[in-house]
Amino acid sequence: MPLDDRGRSRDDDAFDELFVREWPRVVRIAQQITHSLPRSEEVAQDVFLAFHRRFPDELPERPGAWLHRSCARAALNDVRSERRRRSREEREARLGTVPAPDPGEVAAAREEVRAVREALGRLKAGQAELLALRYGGLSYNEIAQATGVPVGQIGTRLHRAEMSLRREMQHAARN
Amino acid sequence: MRHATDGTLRRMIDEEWAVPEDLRRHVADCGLCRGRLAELRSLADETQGLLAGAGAPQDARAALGRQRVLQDSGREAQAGVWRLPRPGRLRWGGALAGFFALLLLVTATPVGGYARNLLLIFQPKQFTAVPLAPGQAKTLIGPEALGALRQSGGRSLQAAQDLASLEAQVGFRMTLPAAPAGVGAPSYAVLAQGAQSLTFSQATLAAYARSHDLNLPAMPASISGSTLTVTTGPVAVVSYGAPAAQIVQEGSAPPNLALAEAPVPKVYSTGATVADIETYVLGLPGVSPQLAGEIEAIQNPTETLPILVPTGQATSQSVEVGGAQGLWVQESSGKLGGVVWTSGGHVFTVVGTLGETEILRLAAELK
Repeated sequence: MPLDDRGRSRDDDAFDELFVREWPRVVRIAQQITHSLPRSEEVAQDVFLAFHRRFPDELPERPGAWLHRSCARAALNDVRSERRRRSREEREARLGTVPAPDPGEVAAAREEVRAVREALGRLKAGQAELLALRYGGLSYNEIAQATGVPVGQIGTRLHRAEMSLRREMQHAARN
Repeated sequence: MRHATDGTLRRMIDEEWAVPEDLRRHVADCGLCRGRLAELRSLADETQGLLAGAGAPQDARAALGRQRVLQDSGREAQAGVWRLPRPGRLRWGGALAGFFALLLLVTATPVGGYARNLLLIFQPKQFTAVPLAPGQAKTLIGPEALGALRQSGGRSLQAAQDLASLEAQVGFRMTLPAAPAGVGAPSYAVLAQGAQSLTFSQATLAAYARSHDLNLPAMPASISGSTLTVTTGPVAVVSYGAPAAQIVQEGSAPPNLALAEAPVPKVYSTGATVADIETYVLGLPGVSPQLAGEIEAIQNPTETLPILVPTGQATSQSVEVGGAQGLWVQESSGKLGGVVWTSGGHVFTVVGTLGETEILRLAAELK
């Protein structure tokens, strides 16, 4: 591997460029599911570390696709982890919500964050991932690359995922 | 022409350009398709409202700095580690300031900032006091003798304009207690998230031993080459009576009241286990058998953070803060005292000159 005068390879530079370009989007994908910026950054950092371990020598053909899908999965695994969720529940519920002076409003906002996160956790993995990718800002072509689903099917699957989330939220509200 | 499918209509909402022109015209002219499009749009809006959306802007360069440190050290095996500040080296405004720095360092200790620290191993969930005999601090070997130190981010406190700015920068909300009258106006500061690592090196140890004319035992092969990495912060600091960004600067006056909150640090290790490192570090020359015994006697060494309390300079006792176990430390003159505890994955510190009862009352309201 050719090294420059700082002892860094061209692939180190390529990785750094990739990191700076993709970091905001990877964090945003995780945020759709975790609803917590610090937790999303932690998930994103883990994903980039896994990426670096998996591709130590050169970047794959579509590095973004790998990062996006892995991040959606990692975030979903995170909210499905009962142990972690219990330990952070109180704190995370306070994150990502607009401050409200009324304690009742604060409590309601926390409750909604928790309800959405749990509903996402109950969806089929592919559906929750699809929602995170789309609402995290990916285009249909990018989603197709990340998931391997033909681009012509993304709209249909996205609509089904949205319907499933609505049903899960309605089910949670009834109980 | 056939009606548009749900999939096509859904894509029209996000990427209308991707739908063929003739199909778009059909939807525009077809009441059935327009109605269905409105339904799908309503559902998409509803979903958008439930999910987190765009979120705060990201500092990718800062994240890359942390990434490099973590990449270099790896993070396959996890272990806890903490470096205990050597009280004799904390000159910040004398004993009072040094004491506050001791507590603040629980939440944020740059590896390179305090050269002579004792390395210990744990994942901090609670705190316990370990008495440090007079003179003991001078004989401890610091991490710089054991290997290479690296640090990224989190080097100094930066002033924040107000509480909203502070919360935006640290990414969590602080529920602050109402400050008592007379403590002064609040000021705010942030210590950015940072990562520090120590890569153990027999070669570094041997060079240190030669230059200091010490006879040090060889580092075990299981430890040399291992890297410990700790990620800390972001730390939020609120200070009354002294500028928050300056409270750990040498020579600055201690605050009347100061509060700090940060996520519990995360610590990673490659190679060496907690037991390996603890045994090795506690066996180094300069660590008295008494001190080693006190630390080894901690019942949950992977969860308990020992805080060295210098005998004669401070006293300590276990206290309860909002249902959590905390450690109260009182500077021996009685002027300055503080409490440290963890809750919900965060570590909290409240210190000041208001006395134990008042500080513990305020601490219980800090969330």
